Amino acid sequence: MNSATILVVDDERTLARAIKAYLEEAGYGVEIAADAESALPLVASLRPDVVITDVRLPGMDGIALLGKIREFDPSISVIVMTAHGSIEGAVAAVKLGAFDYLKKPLDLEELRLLADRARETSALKQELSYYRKGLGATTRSPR
Amino acid sequence: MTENLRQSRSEMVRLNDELAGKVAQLERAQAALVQSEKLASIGEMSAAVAHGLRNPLASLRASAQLVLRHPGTPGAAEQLQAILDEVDRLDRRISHLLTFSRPAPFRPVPERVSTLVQEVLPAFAERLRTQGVTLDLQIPETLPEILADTMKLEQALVELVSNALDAMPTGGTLKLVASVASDAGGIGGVAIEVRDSGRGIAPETLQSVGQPFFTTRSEGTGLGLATARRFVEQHGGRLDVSSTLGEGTSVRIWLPKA
Repeated sequence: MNSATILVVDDERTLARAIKAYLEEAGYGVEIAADAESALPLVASLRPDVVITDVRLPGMDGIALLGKIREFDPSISVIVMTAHGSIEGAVAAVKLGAFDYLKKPLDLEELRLLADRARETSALKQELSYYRKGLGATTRSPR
Repeated sequence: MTENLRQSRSEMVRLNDELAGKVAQLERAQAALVQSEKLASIGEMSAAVAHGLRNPLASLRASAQLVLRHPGTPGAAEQLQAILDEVDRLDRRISHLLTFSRPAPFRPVPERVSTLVQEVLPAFAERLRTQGVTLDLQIPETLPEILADTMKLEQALVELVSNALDAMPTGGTLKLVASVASDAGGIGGVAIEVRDSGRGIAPETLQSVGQPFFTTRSEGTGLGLATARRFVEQHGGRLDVSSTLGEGTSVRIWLPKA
């Protein structure tokens, strides 16, 4: 069991619910957003460890969402899903800082393993950020 | 003199052969270009079809995986229902694709734009009311007639109005404006604009809008706008989409006058 939180962003409701059910069984807290616009406030309020998003979304797309999440908190790992005929969009997402990508139709167990790794990376980044801040505070403090 | 003529003739023959060679070369290059354009267009279409089918397939696979994990539970029954729904969605997409790609006869007759619009709107009265959408209709009776295959143009308008209403699930304004307009080449015609006040489409998404199977809605088939564009172009017209995030989307069709 773990207490990490994952936000799933996909307007494919059946898939999003199946991912939620599968990851909750693995011990994750999971929330769903149907588009990027409703995902952004959830990113701010939940501060999820991992965001799993489709590339193609109504309104703002998954790549733009990735950019906003990276600006807000670079320690949040973002996994990108794509159903497109080519994987160029997903590869572009990885170049822009996505943790990894998965092609649809996906295997839920594969997604879970990827989410585990993404969560570990996220935790390490948060830890590193914490120590860096601490180090900064120490060096700035008056003697 | 005779020698000069012979030389000129021989030079003309050589130049003629050279020209024939160049023409053959150009024809080969043109054929290769047409072939590569065809392949590119098949490639784009295939990618769009793949996207349209993989999303329901992803839901199918994930639901089946959950049922396998916990067969015989109430949750499994729910997942099985989701599988049935996704199969129906796939079937609808395939039917729409077949309708989209099937050639149909083109029978244009002179028609008023106002008549076309009046034929289409009653079907949306209920949706306009339940969604709280205000209709702003600006179709002057004085517009010139257009040559229209009424069934196809009405279908195109149905797709555009339906898309506009989908973009305003919680209310807004649907604007239908028609005016006299010429195309870029100065040919006279009529422009019809269908404008919604929905959330709009991101610029990076806008370039894909209208491609077969491209949809920003999970319930959409991604063939509505593609069908509308195909029908409008069959009339010698054109269809353009513009959108601003947060303000709405506008689809403008231009049709030559009768």
